[in-house]
Amino acid sequence: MARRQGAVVVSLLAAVLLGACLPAPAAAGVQLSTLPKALDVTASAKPGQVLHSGVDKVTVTWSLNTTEPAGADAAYKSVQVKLCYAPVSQKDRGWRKSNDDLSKDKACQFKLTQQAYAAGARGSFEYTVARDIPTGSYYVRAYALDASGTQVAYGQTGPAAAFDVAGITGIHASIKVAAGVFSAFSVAALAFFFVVENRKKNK
Amino acid sequence: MASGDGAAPMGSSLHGASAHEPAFAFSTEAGRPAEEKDAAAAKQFDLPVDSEHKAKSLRIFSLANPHMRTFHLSWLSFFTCVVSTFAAAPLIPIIRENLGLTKTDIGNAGVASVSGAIFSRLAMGAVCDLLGPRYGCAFTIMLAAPAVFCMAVIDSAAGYITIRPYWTSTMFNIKIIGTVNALASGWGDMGGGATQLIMPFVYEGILKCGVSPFEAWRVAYFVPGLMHVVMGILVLTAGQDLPDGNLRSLQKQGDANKDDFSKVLLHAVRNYRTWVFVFLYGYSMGVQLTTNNIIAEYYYDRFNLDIRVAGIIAACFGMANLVSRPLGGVLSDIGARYWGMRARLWNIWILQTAGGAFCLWLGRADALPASITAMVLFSFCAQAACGATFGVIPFVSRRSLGIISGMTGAGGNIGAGITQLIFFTLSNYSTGTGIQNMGIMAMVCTLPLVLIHFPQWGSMLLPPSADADEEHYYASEWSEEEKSLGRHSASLKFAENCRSERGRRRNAILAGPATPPPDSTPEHV
Repeated sequence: MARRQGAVVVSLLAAVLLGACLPAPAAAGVQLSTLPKALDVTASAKPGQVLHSGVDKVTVTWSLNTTEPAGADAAYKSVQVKLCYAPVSQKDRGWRKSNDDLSKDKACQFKLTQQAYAAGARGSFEYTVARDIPTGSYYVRAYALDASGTQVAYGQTGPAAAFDVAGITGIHASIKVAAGVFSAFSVAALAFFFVVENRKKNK
Repeated sequence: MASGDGAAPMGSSLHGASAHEPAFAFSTEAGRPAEEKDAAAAKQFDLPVDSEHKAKSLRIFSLANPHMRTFHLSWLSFFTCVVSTFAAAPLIPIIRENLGLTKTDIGNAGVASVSGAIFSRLAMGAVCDLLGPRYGCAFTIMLAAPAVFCMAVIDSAAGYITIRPYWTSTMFNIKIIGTVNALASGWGDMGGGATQLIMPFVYEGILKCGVSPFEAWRVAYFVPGLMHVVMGILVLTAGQDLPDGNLRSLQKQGDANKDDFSKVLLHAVRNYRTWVFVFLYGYSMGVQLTTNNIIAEYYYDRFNLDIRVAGIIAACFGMANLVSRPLGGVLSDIGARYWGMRARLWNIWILQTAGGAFCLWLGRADALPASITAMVLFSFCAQAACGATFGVIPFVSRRSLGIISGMTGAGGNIGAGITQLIFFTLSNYSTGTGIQNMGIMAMVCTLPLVLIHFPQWGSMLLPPSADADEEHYYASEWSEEEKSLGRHSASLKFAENCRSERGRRRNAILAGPATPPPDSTPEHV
């Protein structure tokens, strides 16, 4: 009994230590509402168009919004382009919820590219839709990052206009065959034992 | 006793008239007196055994046939089924994207995964009583394998095994029954935590081979599927139903009596204690199953943890079964040594209520260390309560043990399904509030335990009746006609062995006057 009590105490201590060692919740990130919408972002996919993952491509282009004064992009060092869920794909799925605090935001989970920003010029990137993008509706958002990697401006193609992605199912013929073979083996083995033992019993 | 031809000795109709009659005043086995048989049995088995050839002690690292081997096969096969049932839980973040699931879909899948097992648990009890636990186990595990392989969208985890408490109950003696059942079940239930570590590990390994995520999780599912097939074959080749052999061959020899299913079911259903335990188990095991399904997501959402860290914490909840469920059984056995059955009942109540209280704390905790502490304590108490419950179930009935075990297990799943439905799927409030409500419900719904009363042992609040004894309780499940055929001999042996449930004090009082020598004829009574 004392040994079990000892085990309980040790496990409790371990659990508490584990909890203490876990990273403290991250400091609050940049708020999206405070960022200027200084980038003009376009995507080659038209609203409602269906892209197939692994096959189709989409070209994203960005440049400084013409309403911004020239030179406003002096601080922009790099651009990070992300794929974001459109509201229809966020419905009833709490793990895709948008949050104004960018460190807690879960709507833009897929990073397409991060590359240097050329002031005054038009940047672009051709993206082949990755095989791990799930089926759903998306739009593109680009953040302008300063030298320290913090977001200082952004631009997006949605959320009103969104294009669709048809994700892969992940099912291959080989998986189907293997599943069928193993299942059949399982049932057959059981039947075999049953029949053999019944015969032995009746002898 | 002195007759060698198997006929009932003179005066056997007075059996039970005095409390000192030896339980084997007559026997249905051909020939040999009991002493010779026991000596033969002692040579045949590796562990010390009692009159029913059940082992009196447990040696964990042994694989001796049949007792220890049964124990290991039992917990391993249950472990396999729990692993495959909860294999989806840690991979939900990938699966929900691949299949486009919504919160409602995931909730329904969780409910379905525990509900699907309800019918199989009920059926298992009957199957064990009729076909023997070995085939019951093998059937479930091997017929569930195709389901695992086909990776159904809704987990059709019909492979819950109820036989482990039944199977070990027939193999191990009363005094250690609590410990044994709890060990086998606990290590099996640990599968719920193990799967939260195994599946992501396998999945990551497959990812590294260059497979895309939506294919990788499907391939990862082959691991639990293959475990099913391997375990099924092991059970069929290495297991046996009862200490003396397999059920069908024993039935042929006439040693084990084939029972009538409808009678077995009737006695299970008419015993009110069955229904109390069916209800109660939903609030120890049911709560545990629900938590297995939702806890990783809870930590991911509430504390913004990385999905892998959330999975590790979730694994801790299930892995605690390694010690906590057996602990419940051990506490049950220790309490019974001093105070008998009443201690076992109080043990269940204390553990299950404490579990509910810690669950309430878990839902309220805002800081991560407090939350994890609450979760660990909650897991210990709820799982220990499960172990303690199955320390009492073998005593509710000897004739219908299989069905009652099955019904109790099914009750656990029903409780899980209902809990998941009302607090986490249909609800509009947060998961944290759902957990709090689950804790409150568990505390309230443990109160019916005070209704469990054994005439010969008492209940939580009432002492035993002076004139009741174990033989009467267990023999009452058989009709007079069946008794005259001697069909209740196994129940009588069982009754004699569980006299220890009276507790130390009462047994000391009873042992006062000397017992008459075994071969004295009852004419003198």
